[in-house]
Amino acid sequence: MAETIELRDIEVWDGNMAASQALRQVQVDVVAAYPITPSTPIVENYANFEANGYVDGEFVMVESEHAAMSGCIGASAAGGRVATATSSQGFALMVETLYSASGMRLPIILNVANRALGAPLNVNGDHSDMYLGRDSGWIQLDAYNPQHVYDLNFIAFKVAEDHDVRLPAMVHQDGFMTSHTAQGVHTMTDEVGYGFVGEFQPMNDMLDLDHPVTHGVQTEEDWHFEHKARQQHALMTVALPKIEAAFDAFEKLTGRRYNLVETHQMEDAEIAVICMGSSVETAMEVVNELRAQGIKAGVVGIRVFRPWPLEQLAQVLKNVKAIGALDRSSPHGSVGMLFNEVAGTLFNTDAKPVLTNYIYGLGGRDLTKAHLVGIFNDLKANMDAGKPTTPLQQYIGLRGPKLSFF
Amino acid sequence: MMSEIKKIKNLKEFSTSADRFEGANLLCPGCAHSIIVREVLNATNDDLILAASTGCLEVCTAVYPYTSWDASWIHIGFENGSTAVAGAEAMYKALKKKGRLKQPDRKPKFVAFGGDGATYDIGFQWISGCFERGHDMMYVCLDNEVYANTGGQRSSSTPIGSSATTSPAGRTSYGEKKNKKDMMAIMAAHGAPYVAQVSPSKWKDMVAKIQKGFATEGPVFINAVSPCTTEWKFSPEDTISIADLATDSLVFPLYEIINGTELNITYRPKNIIPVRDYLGAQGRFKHLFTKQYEYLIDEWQTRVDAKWEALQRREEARV
Amino acid sequence: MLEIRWHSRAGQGAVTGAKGLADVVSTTGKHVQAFAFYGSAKRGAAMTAYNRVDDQVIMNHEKFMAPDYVLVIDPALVYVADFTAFEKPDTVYIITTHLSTEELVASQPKLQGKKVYTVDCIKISQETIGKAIPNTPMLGALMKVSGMYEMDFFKENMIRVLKKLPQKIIDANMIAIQRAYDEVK
Ligand SMILES: Cc1ncc(C[n+]2csc(CCOP(=O)(O)OP(=O)(O)O)c2C)c(N)n1
Ligand code: SF4
Ligand SMILES: [Mg+2]
Repeated sequence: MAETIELRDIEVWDGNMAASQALRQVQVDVVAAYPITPSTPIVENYANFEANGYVDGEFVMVESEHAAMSGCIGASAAGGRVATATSSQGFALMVETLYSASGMRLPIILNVANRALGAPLNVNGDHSDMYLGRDSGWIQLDAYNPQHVYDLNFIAFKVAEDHDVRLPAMVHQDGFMTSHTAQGVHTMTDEVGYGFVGEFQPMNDMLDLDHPVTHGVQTEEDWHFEHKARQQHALMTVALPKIEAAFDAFEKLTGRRYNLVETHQMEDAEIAVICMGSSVETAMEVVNELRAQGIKAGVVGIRVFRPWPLEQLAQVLKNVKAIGALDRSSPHGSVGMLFNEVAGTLFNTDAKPVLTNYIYGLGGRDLTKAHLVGIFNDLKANMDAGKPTTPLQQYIGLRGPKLSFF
Repeated sequence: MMSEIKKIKNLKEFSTSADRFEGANLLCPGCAHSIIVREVLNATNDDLILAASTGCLEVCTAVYPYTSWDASWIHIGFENGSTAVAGAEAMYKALKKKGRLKQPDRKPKFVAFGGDGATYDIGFQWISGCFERGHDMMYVCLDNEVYANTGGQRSSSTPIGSSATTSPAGRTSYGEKKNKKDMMAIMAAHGAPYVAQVSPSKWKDMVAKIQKGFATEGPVFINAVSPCTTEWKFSPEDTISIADLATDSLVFPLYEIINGTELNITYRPKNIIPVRDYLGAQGRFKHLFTKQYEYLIDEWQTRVDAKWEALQRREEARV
Repeated sequence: MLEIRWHSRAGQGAVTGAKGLADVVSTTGKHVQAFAFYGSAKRGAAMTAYNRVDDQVIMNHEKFMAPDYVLVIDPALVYVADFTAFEKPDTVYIITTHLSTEELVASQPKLQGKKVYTVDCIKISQETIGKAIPNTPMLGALMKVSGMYEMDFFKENMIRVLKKLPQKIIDANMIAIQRAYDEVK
């Protein structure tokens, strides 16, 4: 039996340590992993736990990220709790198998310390890898700080392993800005943490030798569509309520509340930014300052990126007059993903806010409070004019002349 | 616990023993893949956890809503059958440690099947990783020297002079220009405890090796010659005789390498057949039997002789 | 909000120092943040690390900072790094050097008229820990200059933070912290 660790009520952990501790507490059976900055410490910490008897599952250090997810798929199909971690180029190398994992309905947990995708090679945080995963059929949860990383891991296991869901889930955090930033994290004891997720309940497990199963079949136009439709059904119809239920249960246990869509000062907001990751919190701080000046500003953070919380978001945005969608990934050839998603979310509603797009923070470029104040100034002007006063898409924090499109 | 070695007296008994791989599959009539798989599975009564890489075997045996497999089986992609089964093996170990196995007194064998494309080319890194880490598994390469599933493109197992769709013979080309990769040597160089080359036509030799492999702890590599009626271009009823030509011409010598150091030749043909006869029996080499390219047949013979010579020297020297 | 910027070379332990400080501060009920700027820099490259301390939950994740304290743990960095960037009128500098404060200010005019303290953390760590790891002594100096915590409380908590290290090393670190506390001027 693995030894327990006595945690203090508040530990000062960076996002990576928060993820490692959560993986330890839920007692993952198999971790197959490959290192890449900035997620490497997650598996290093985990290896340390193993080397010191704090976990007693199998830790398989494979030869690539593709193999890491391949091993996770084999292990998960065999029937047990499985997790790994990656970033950036490693995530990109994994993409083929991400689709396999979700299509095979295997509840694997992938911690992603979000990082830019080269070229040019860059180890710092942006959301390119997170966006790359958005059609892969995984549940994608987004953490804004180390506390969220810790909490969302438990929630991810609970939802993914639910027999009605059986879908893999990613827990995203911002590379460096969260993964390497130490903050206070309220902990659960090993017993309480494990108890929230509970014992792994196998289903269609290959290791049930009396009931052989075939995983990863061939289908063509005769059945493929039905499989994918059922997968989407599980993601849209089953997963969303299960995530909400897990959020409720988690709040009951810890007092910490999570929502599909996080809001700050949105009750009467006239202008708002919508963003993801650590930027959500920086924007909250800016909004507090603007509110003190009498400006009715608010922040919307996407907590559950996939499945997309369309109805909940439409509800939150219904009275807003100007919205800035902030994307930390270059859309290359179009408007940003959040712009598109927000536009699609609101299109058939009565809300007709002015919607503009900001691309920021690529390759870890700082998003400062001053940048955010500038964006809110734009939004205020858009609201007053009732139409965009700026180009639809602007690059924020870029050196040299201003860059904008559309 | 020790698994008991299955006793097999004759071919009839062998071919009708436990059917964990159904004849109901979509492989071509005469496909050697199915014969090899059956021989591997029939060599043991132990429980099996299987994997396959994308390729003929996979697309023809697990077409939803059917399955030809009466043992747990997994397919992920073209390159990662080895790692799929390694992941399952890791889970077995974890659950064993934690006392969560449903049938704790049964120890399954873990076997991955892959084509030569999946083995020599795209999946090479994954296999190398599995062998280096030492998973307790058997990897069986169904070596038909071509990407058969996608219609006959070359692989790094395709031999010189073979006409494949991406290395076709033509007015100015004799087909494939590069010699087959020596996968046996590469896998032995991993220090694998057991590496062997087998032919489905020499079933006793094959069963002995598979059983030896199953009795071995750690990663085992089996390279099985798999004559492909469609891409090698011979008639479906000739599969076994083509396999015999392969072994008896010494194009596919049967041998094993233990711990990367001890090489044993396990089959010495009584009558060694000229390589010419092996090549001549297959449409993929037809163009070699022309004035322009005939010199290649002599080169083939020289190469095969040299390799056989080298194997014998290694065997004698115990290296 | 109290904000601290560390200037060091990769490998000198600024990140560990910042995280250790955050850990100790956190035990007093305050909210903390410790982070660093990373590139693909290898050992010896100039780098910066940061602390934020507040009574409220810290939501600001911008890397931009106008620091209250600047801690320089490598002596040469006062001549090559932009260590006064975004300074405030009352920013306090604690600098590792073998020079006296007057000599240092004379050698680096940027420091003229600033609140400058000096301490030789390199020498202290070499003489106590046996290696040039100036991060823990710098924390001792910071305790003295800022009056943040009583020395006993701070050391007791640092022992907990360092608990994975061999006892000998922990003891040496405590001596280093105390010496820097006593020697900073
Ligand atoms: C990543 C990837 N690349 C290419 C393919 C297309 N593909 C599927 S099977 C195959 C060839 C299989 O050849 P081999 O492994 O020799 O097996 P065989 O069909 O000959 O038994 C190819 C190229 C694929 N499925 N996945
Ligand atoms: S193409 Fe060849 S390998 Fe594929 S099923 Fe047919 S005979 Fe077998
Ligand atoms: Mg092939």
